Amino acid sequence: MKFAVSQIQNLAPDDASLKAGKALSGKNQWLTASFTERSLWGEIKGSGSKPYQTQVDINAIAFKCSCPSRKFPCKHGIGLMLLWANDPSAVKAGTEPSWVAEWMDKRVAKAEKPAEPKEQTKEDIAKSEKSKQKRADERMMSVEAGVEELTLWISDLVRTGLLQLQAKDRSFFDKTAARMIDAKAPGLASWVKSLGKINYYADNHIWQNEAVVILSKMHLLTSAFQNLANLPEIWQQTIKSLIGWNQSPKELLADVSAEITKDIWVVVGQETTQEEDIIIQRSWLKGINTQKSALILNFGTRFAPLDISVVNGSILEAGIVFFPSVWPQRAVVKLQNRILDQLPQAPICLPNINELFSFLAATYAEYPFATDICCLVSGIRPVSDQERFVAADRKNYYMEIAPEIDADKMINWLAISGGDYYDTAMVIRNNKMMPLGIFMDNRYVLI
Amino acid sequence: MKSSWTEIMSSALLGTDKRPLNIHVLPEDIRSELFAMGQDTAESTLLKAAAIHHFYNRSGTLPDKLENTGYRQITESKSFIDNPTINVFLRITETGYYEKEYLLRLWLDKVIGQNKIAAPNIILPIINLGIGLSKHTRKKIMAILGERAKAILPLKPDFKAKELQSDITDQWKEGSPEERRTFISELRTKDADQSLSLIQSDWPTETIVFKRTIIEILSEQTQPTEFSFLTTLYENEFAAKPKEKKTEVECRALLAKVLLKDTNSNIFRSTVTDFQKYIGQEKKSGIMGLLTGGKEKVIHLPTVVDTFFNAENMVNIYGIDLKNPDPAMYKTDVIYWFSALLSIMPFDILTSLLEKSKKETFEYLLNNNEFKAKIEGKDVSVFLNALSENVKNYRDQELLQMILQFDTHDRKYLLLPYSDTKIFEEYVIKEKLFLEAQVITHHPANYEDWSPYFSVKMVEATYKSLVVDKKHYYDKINQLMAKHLHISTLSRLEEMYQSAANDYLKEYWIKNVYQPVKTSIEIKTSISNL
Repeated sequence: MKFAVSQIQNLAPDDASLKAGKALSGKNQWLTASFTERSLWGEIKGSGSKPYQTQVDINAIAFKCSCPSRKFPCKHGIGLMLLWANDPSAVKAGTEPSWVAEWMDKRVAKAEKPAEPKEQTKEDIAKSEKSKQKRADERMMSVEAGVEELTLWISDLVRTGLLQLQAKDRSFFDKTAARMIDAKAPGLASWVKSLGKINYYADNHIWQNEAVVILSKMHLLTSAFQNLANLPEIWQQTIKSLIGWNQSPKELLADVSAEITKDIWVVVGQETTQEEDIIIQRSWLKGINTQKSALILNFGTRFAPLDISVVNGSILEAGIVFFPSVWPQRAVVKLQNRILDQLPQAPICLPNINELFSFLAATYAEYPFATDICCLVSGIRPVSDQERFVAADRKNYYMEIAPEIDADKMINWLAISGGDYYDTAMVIRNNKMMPLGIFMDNRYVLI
Repeated sequence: MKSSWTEIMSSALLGTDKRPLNIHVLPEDIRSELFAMGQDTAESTLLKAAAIHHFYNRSGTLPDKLENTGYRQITESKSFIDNPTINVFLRITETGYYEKEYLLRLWLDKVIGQNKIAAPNIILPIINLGIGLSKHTRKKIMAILGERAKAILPLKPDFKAKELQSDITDQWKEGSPEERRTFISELRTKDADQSLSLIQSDWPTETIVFKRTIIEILSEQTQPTEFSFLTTLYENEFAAKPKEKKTEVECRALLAKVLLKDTNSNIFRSTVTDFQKYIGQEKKSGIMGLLTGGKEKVIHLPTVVDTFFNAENMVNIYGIDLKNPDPAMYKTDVIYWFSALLSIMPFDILTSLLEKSKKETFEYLLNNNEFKAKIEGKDVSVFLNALSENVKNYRDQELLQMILQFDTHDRKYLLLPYSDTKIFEEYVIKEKLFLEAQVITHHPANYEDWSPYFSVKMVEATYKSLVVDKKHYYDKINQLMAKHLHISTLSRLEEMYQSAANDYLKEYWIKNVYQPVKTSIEIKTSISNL
């Protein structure tokens, strides 16, 4: 599976690496360049005496290069991928040399059989369980205290009136958010921060509504937590996750009982944001057969780059496991078999915007905390209407575009679609649409 | 539902202390939900009511409908460019600022030649790239935009498509003076008759300043039909009058300059006739005179004004105003006028009257003691500036070379922009001017490659300067090389890359010369192979 240039550009760790990679994407620069169904490799002359050996796992995207660069992927990896994308005739089908075969075999073996946990004695296990329970109890007590404090904070606000919020400075919210972090409830801290991020200089009607809705949801969450013992197990897990209990991808991957959802998954969109020093990458996947949606979260820092194995716009034949939830959304890729060039069949979509609204209503009824709902809707086109963009269906029903989407993205959608109707992938955030891509002739095209 | 939400909002904003929620105004369904949850504090009741109301409201919302989406199916009459062409474009977007537009134009010319249009996925990138580029380049971009691309152009006002699309008459009638100037210059290169027709139709209403602009435009590579129009202007509108504006005299000077280029014009013929009376004979000087006893034709300029060389005649016929000439340079007013005429009249008039070769005439004018002045203790040829102006006016390459040989100091900056490629390159190579940005900038090949030999010389000179002699030069040279080096230079460039020792200077050379030049050459090669 070859990647599009735009997809390869997204893999580059920074602009400098991308530029350097592009400079190395000429066929004359590579002494060798070959591929098999699972790997791509090449040799390129560097500043050392021996040429650098660059290799790429093209199914579960991963890079390896003998150059000394600490960037990942390095410019040689980017250059080799670009060479293959731009000039396929320059990369010949071949047989993996030993340095490629060894690395690839190790990767395949590791994916098929994860490392077994260390053997532990019964005593060790009992000790570990006891300490785990102790930590859990302490955490629960801490969160309970935090929830109590937050309940009081919310009550005080409502009792004295939300008009005062406009006059509060950022520290008012930051202080309470920090208290929630101290109480080991980072999920609640995020809710408090989102209250602080409201634009209080916007139209009164807008900020007042936003504030009431956020506070009512926070109240719903804290009330649910206070009633945790009376809730079914799955709701308990969901509420705890919303409050801020960690969901460990490692544990989920190690859990042999976790159900694997195998499907052809389209990576319909990706969003990268930064919160303080942490880079958060959200990848939305849509299963073609199961019609399930999955959200893959990746975290990176200045020193730990983002995992790049999920490439935006790619089509994966993979097995995915979801974190347990009333509304399963967050997931991790457990088995990635291969990357496909095109879809085996057209995806099943909601037929129109009316049905999208019904679907959203049903989702909120099932799970009121649902956010970033990923959907596919049939026959959608971008419309420039009175100095704003909307997305309309064939009957002219429309949905507003989320403010996160800039005008150029909408213009690109118009250019690619020619303003015509296409099956469209989107994320619904705060009742507005974030268009991600369109399906054209069994291909998925990012917009 | 709306009034109940207003009730919730009022209570929330003012606070439950001042205004507790009146649950009786809430819809029955919400009320019963709240009752089912049991007794609660006023704040909790309010927030629960808000949450339930919010979700009720959301689940009952129906989408809005557009009245008119303006939907139309777009069909393209031309086919989209293929993937290799797209890939070349994407490479161009990554090149440096200075060579980008140059390479883009080459690429656009290729696509226009293929009669194809931009593929959907590069429509936005190409429009964005065009923002801020010259009108000429944007016009070329417009030429490869299909129907769907044109439909989105109104959404990209920074591209200024309107000024490129407007009707010919609109641009001419309603544009600013600068826009009109550009418009008519461009139209003239494509359709001289149409441009002249537009000029003539609006001539009576034009301002005198704009008329001067138009005459300036028409004075470049004047067409036969334009000569006729210009002659009429010279003989009528701008013929000498008792009282005239300064700009009118300037217009006459411009017209005289143009019409002197036409050997059939009255002014040309009268000038030849008037000059004849200043040609006399004299014994040849030096050894040739002694040996042959022969005579040669010379110029005998009057020392005082006469019927031809006088202020009134000069301004009335040629628009030459006596503007405080430097007395150290011009001993008499006549020499000043002759110098002014020398700059605008065909050099051949003199060679013919003097019965000398061009070289002999040139040497006679510059070496004759009568035509020399003492400036700061040095002998200076009085007519050197006039002959330089003549080169600019007539682009006489032979004369240009003679001047460059005569005075190599500052004259090169003045005259090289008027040379042709061959003379320019030979001169730069001979004088080793490779690192002089002020010179190389004026290479006549604006949208072409330099010759293979010159390209190699440039690469070698810059390499020697940077890597061997460790001398930096003005970065403009690198930018020009990235644009204009001949594609055959790549092999020499690669040899240098392989042979240079690895040090910081090589790194600098790779970054600033090798890499951009190589990329540019690869792109140019790809474009020619498309």
